[in-house]
Amino acid sequence: MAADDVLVVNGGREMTVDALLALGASAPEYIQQGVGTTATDPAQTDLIDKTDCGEARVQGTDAKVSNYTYRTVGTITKADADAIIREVATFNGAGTGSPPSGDTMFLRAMFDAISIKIGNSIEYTIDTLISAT
Amino acid sequence: MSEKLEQAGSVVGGPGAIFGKMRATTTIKARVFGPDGALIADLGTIVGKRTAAEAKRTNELRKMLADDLERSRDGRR
Repeated sequence: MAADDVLVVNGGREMTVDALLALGASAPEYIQQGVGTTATDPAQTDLIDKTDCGEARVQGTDAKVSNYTYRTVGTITKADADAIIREVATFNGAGTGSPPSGDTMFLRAMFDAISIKIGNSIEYTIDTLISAT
Repeated sequence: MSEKLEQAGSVVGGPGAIFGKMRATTTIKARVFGPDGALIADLGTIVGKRTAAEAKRTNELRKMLADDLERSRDGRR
């Protein structure tokens, strides 16, 4: 008897991207940044440190890039203070409060420092490729 | 000859491992703009695979931004 085998095929990969886009205003297209340096972990639900990052989440523009990549593009303008940005996350809503919290975090990324002054902006292009393997 | 790629940053989340062997791989690029909308620095890939040349360029731009922020703070003191 053959061993069990399963694979999400290309049609399924494309359906996954389409499903994210079909969420409309509830798609994970709301972008927020922070200064936290804690390593990423699947149990996390929010950014780690929002010190000097009181700006509202930015609702980005989402799109399907190629057949299997979900893209969100958004620009956050530093309004409350200079900051050394080290993390960014996407959510399925704008959240509440300042800095915002709440709604569901879709992904969180940590990276080397980006120094940003009040008035300057960071444009993020976040691509999530649905892979078959 | 292909150039060796290195990994920048880390990411968690997305629809990874929802079904069978399916995985999600996230790449993030960043650009910094001034108050007038002018491009200050195209950092390229800050999370994901990138070439050594891209990494070098990104790090140079990071240093430029850090120096600029430091000068700005000094000017306010």
